[in-house]
Amino acid sequence: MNNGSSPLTIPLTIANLPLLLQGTDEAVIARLRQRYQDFLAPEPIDPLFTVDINVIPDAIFVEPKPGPWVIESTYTADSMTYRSYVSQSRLDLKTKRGQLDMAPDASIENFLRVTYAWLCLQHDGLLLHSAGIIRNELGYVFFGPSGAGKTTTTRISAKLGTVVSDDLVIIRRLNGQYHLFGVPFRGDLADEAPRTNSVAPLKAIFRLRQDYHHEVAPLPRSMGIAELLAAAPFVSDKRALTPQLISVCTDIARHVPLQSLHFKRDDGFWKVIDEHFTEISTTTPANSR
Amino acid sequence: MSILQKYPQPHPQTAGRIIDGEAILILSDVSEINVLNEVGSRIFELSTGTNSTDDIIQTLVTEYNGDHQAITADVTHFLEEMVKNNVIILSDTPAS
Repeated sequence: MNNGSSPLTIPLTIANLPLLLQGTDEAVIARLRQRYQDFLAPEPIDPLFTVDINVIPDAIFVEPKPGPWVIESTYTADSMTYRSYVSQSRLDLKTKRGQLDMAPDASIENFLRVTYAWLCLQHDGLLLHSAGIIRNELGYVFFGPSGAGKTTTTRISAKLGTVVSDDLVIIRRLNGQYHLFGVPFRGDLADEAPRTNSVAPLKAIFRLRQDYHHEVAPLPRSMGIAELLAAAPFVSDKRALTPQLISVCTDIARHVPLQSLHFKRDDGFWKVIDEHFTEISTTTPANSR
Repeated sequence: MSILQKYPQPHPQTAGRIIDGEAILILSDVSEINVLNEVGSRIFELSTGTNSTDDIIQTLVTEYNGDHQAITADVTHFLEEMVKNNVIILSDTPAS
C-alpha cells in the first residue's frame, strides 16, 4: 500500500479528454498505468473528472450468469453510473468527482468505454463502434454492426496505413475539424490493431457492405445519421442522451463525407476510395460540400 | 372518441428529428432506430399534440392533392402502428 499522503495517479488523456484516476493501491495503479501507458498524459493535467479508485478484495457487484456480458449504465442531470461484475462507478457531474469500486484484478476497460462514450457526447464527439485507419495522414472510419467487416477491412489495411482500431474509435471535433482518435480499447485484433494513441483529420466515414465488388455508393444523409446513431455504444439507448446524440451525429454527417462502401476481401477498396475523392476534388469547387 | 378527434404527439420514450425531410426516430425502450419515409415523416412532424388526426389528414390532402378517404385510411393505420410501437401517443385534448 502507498503510505504517502498523496494518492498515486493515472492521468489519462483519450481524444484530448483528460481524466484523472487516483488511488492508494500501488499494485493496482502500477498495473493500470502499464496497461494504459500510451494514453498517459504528461502531468499535471486539468481533468474533466477526478475519480478515486477504491480497491475492494473479492468485490462482486453483479452476480455472473449465462447470457450477454452485463454492463449497466445510467445518466441523469446529476450523475453517471456504471456497473458490471467486478467494478462499479459513480461520477458526480456537478463536483466533477467520482468513485470507481473494483476488485484488485478487475479491468477498467468497460468503465472507460462507458465514461468516454458519455464524455465524448458532451464534447462534440462520438465513441463509435467502428474500425479506424490512418492513411496518408488522413483518418478513415469503417463502421457497421458486428459481422459487417470491420475486422476484415482492418486486417486488409494493416500494411497500407496505421490501424487505429478494429472495434472502437472516437470521432471528435477539434479546432473546427473532425478528427479520428485512437482509443486504448481492445478489439479482436489485439496484435494487428495495437490501440495506438493516434490522431488524424477525418477524411471520410464508410458504412460497410460486404459485396462481390468494390464501390463507394451514396448513403442518404438521414440513413447515414441513423446508422451512426445505431453504432454509438452505451449512449444510443439512453433517452436522456438522445437529443445530444442526434445533434452530434447530424453535425458529423454535415461535415464529413458519409457513404456506403461495398467491398470484397481484398485491398482494392482503397483504390476506389482514392478514385472517388480524386474525382470529387477535380469536379467540385472548394467549400461547396 | 374516434382517433380522428385525438391529438397525436411523440411518445415520451421516443426521440426524433427530421433530417432532409425524413424522420429519424430513436426508440429508447426497445433500442431501435428507424427512419420514416416522406409521408410518414410528415405525419410525425405534424404530430405535435396541437393538431388532431383530422387536422393532419386535411393538411396531407392539401399538400399531396390526394383522395380524402384514402389518406384518412393511410393516416389512421399509420398512427395506430406508431401507437402500437410506442412512437406516438394519442391525447383526448390538445397539448398546451
